[in-house]
Formats: sequence, C-alpha cells, structure tokens
Amino acid sequence: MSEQTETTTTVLPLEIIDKCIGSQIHVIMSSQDKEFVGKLVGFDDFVNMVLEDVTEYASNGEKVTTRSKMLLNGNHIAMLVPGGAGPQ
Amino acid sequence: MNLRVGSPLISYLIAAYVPGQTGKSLKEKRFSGYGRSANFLSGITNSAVVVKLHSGITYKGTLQSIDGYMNIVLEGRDVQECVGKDSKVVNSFKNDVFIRGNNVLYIGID
Repeated sequence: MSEQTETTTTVLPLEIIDKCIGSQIHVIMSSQDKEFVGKLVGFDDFVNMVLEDVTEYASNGEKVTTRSKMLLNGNHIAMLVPGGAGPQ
Repeated sequence: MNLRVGSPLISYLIAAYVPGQTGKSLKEKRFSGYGRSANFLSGITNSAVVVKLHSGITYKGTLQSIDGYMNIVLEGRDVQECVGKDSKVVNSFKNDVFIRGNNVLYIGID
C-alpha cells in the first residue's frame, strides 16, 4: 500500500478521507434528508464510518439529535466535506 | 464462524473485541482509522444503544451482537420502538430483536 502511493502521483479519493481521521467531517446522505457532523474516527472501503460527538441534522438544517459515538452505514452516503461545520 | 464478511471495518472491530479472534482481519488495516476505532465495540456491547433505520424508526435497547453486514441483535427485556422527533415509544418487545443490516442507518450510544 505505501509503496504504491510513493510510485504514483494520483491521490485516491479514500486517501483524502484517510487524512481527515481525527478531525471534523460533514456527511450528507444521498436522500438529502439527513446530515451528520462529527469527528471521524475510522472508516472502510464501503465508507462505513465510526464517528464521535455527532450532531444529526434534518434536511432543513434543524438539529435532530446528538450522539457521543456511532457507527454510520456507508450505503446511503452521498458526500463528505472534510472540516465542514454543518448545514448552518 | 466466518467473521470476514461484509464491512472490513466492522469485521476488524469484531476481531478486536471478541476474545480469541485475533486472526487475519486484525492485521489487515486498510486505513489508519481502524486502530483508533478498535475500542468501539467494547464501548457499545452490552450497553444502551440506539439503532436508527433509514425509514426513520429508532430502536432503543441493549446491544447483544453485530456482524459485518450490520445485522444487529438487541437483547430482549426492554427493546423500544420509537418514532418522530420526540422519540415517542410506539412499541416495545420482551424478546430479542433481530434487525437486518440493510435497513440500518446507524448504531450509536444512547
């Protein structure tokens, strides 16, 4: 894996996400009815994610709930915004 | 039991949590976050969790088991089915509840 990244100049999309680990990330779901903002702890090839101190927003930007820790299913994720502060 | 099905991350988390399951999957760290997430399952197993489905229905209960497909078993006794923003309880179950993974949006600490 590390050899591969050294010999190629392209940056894989998931490598960008890998760099966000430990920092804030804004997650937008594909049905556009939910958004999440929290600290990215880990993720995999399916973009399932472990998040910490998460705030869940409805489509109108209204806060729904907060969770201290969650495992988010990657199936319906549309977009990730590294460092994004949320819908407001 | 084949633990290496579905999500690599969840398989890793299971291997990190279940005693004796220190096989291949613990070595296969594709991304740097795997190690940081390793205590996730120990943090939520046998504690109060909330499982939200894509449909918006929320199940609150005690996590008994999870697999790489995000299939989830909540322990019987007091599993509550909640709907809406105010989490109104519409149903409760005395037996174990199995939730098929494809419906799960997230599982988190209650």
